[in-house]
Amino acid sequence: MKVRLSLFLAASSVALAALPAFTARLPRYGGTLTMDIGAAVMSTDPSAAPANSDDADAKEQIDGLIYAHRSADGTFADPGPFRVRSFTPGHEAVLAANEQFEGGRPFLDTIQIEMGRPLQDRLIDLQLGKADLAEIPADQARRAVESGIRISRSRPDELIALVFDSKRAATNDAHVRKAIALTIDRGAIVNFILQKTGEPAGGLLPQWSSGTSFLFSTADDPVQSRQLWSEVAARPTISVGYDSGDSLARAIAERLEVNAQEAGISMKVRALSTDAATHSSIDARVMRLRMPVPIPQAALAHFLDVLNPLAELDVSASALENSPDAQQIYDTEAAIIDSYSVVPIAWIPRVFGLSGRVRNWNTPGPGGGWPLANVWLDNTDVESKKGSS
Amino acid sequence: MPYHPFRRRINLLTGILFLACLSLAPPGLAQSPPAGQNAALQPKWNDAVATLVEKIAGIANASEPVTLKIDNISSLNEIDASTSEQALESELSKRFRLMPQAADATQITITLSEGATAYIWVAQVRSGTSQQTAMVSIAKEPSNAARAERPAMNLRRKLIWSQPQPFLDFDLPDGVPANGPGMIVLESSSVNFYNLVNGQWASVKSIQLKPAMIPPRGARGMIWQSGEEIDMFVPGESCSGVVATLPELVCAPHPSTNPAVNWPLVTANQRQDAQFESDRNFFAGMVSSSGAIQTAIPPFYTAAAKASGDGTSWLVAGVDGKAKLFDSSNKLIATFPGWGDQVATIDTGCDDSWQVATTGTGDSMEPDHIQIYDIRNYAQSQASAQSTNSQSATTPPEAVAMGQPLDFAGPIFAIWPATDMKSARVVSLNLQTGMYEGSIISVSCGE
Repeated sequence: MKVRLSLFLAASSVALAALPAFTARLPRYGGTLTMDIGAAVMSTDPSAAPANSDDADAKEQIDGLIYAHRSADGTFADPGPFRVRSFTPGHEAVLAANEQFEGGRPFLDTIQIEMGRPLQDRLIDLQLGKADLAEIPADQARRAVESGIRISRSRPDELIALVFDSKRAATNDAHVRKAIALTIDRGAIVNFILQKTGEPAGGLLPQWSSGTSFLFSTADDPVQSRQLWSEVAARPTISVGYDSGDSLARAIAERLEVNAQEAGISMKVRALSTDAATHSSIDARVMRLRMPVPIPQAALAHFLDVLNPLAELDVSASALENSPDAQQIYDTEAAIIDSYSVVPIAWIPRVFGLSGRVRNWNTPGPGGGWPLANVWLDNTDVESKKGSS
Repeated sequence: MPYHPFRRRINLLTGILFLACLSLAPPGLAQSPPAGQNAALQPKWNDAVATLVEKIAGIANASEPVTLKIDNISSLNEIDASTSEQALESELSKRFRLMPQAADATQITITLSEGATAYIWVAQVRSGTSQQTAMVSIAKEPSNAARAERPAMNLRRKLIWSQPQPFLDFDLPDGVPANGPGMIVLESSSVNFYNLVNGQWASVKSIQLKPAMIPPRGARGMIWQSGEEIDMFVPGESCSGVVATLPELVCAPHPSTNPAVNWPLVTANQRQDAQFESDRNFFAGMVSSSGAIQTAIPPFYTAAAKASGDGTSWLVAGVDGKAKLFDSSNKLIATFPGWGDQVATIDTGCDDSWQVATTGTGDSMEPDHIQIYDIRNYAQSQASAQSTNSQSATTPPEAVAMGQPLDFAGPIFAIWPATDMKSARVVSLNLQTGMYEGSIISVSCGE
């Protein structure tokens, strides 16, 4: 029973803290939802190129509210549930309900998106009720709950992994990679760095997607690691890089360094800037891989496309064409894991902070956009609908 | 180095549950199973058992003793899981010498797991230091099977229909000829007719609607049967027919310039229309016999009626989130906070009191429930009648919860009372399966 309960909770996409007093069930129309985001979107033109990956993600989410469809080439088209009422590049976007949206007029009258808000400001805005919705880094979720913020999190869909550069001589030996992999204390990373908002990763796909993740070990084995390391002829210092703008990746990289040194392996971690020249001396890097879709073969194929330029795996995404069965997906995954070229570390969910009046929020899963067309606010007055936009 | 976070051995309970499952299985399923197949399992599960056992036979040495352990870490319920486990054990025992324990035995661990699109059954076969893995996947599919009745104290729920797409209402119309459709499912853009064939609902006909407006999010719809006549309402369109000639319907779009449309509400003695705001999801108010909208009862989502000698009393779920009780002169006499937006009269037949089914509060991301309330002291005439031998003339109206709430595994979108008010149709979403479900609830006395 305990197993089933835990699985049910894991499957549930919403976890709430500081549960508000609900007063309604059927959706209410009207009201303005205020949302804080850290990114700074500079244009609502679907063809405009964003500055970085965070901005690109936010822009895609906003585009998904303004446009109804996405064509095969990735461009958005047709009016979506909201239209742009005003837009101040990098600062604020105000979206109004599209009364003629083919999928039905959204419940909200307006969405006000405040851009470029640092995490601390987002948390304060949520606490003070100045924001209804804000994304929170997974490792800050527990702190947010302790601050009385209501949170909602997705199923874990972002993989943090150590990816070895196949071109580096230092880690060309599989014994070296395995020795490093066996030092990783995933439990400590999940418990202390992620503050229990995440789960140890043994495979390249989460259990809820593949159903076979439990077959991959997540245990560390420092004794075997020492044994393997002692058998390595040349024992180089392993350099591990992380994105300089990613504080979570840095914390994890530093923990890997501690684990490795405890097993007698020399490791140094370095921040990687956007200058590609600094990457050439890195043996491995801490990477984040977000599932684009929940379907296991498609998500794994995407990961292979991303990883292959760096890790040069013996498996290509084409191996997953033609509707592979569970055994084929598992075999593909196992071949990568057994090569120790990619070492899964942890799975983390997407976390959002919500005000007490937000209803029908369903944290987006892999590839999903902000589901704001379905959201409604509990304290809106239906009587005011005639005057709404 | 595989690890197993969840382990549970087949035990006595499993066997008992298996036997119980067999005893509860419909007679048709329990008769004459094909050789090598388990009668309590659907064909796809039997196929999975056979395939997995075949794969295990391909990698395990049949001449060695075997120990077997089966874990369930999927969402399969206890009965389905134990039935599957028994079937696997039974089939494996035909191929291998199963032992409770043996030091040199081949160890077979089967895990009933689950992914995003399929159930995954994984067999790990360990012999000495070697280990091999075999697995089989069973696609998740919606089920159209008519379901069994499930008692729950005073409230009973019979699950009639489930489908992955949202629907607004459903009905099992009375008086349909033998060859007519047994069920109607109303979606926002279609009316679908079904017949029950061998315990499964089979599609008979689907009529595509052409509403004159884009249905709003949170659209509501209703099927109304009164005698031979049957009407269906969705935002922007309504359809009419007679049960003798179903599935033939005459449909007419409503002009989008005037989204207010009259929908019927169930009362015991006469039809009462209320003006529904089709571009939203609430009723603006009751409509008088002259066609004018009455203002005495403010806007509401649902309304429950009780006829008495003086007229009809109303309990409405107001758009302000409060349930409001009006006597037969439309005077507000009580407010009940903390209820959900769905109320419906259920004529239990237990006594002459007024019983109302209501939902809970929350939103569509949460489980819901239905609670029966006994509405007392609701009408002046009733209070006067009771005043001769009690203090009820001075007792304010009250709502007293009756029995235990009936839990649903997701939000309830609609409760529409049957015309005779003896039961109600419930449309809900099962958050565990993702299926939209149509159920009929009724109340039994003294159980």
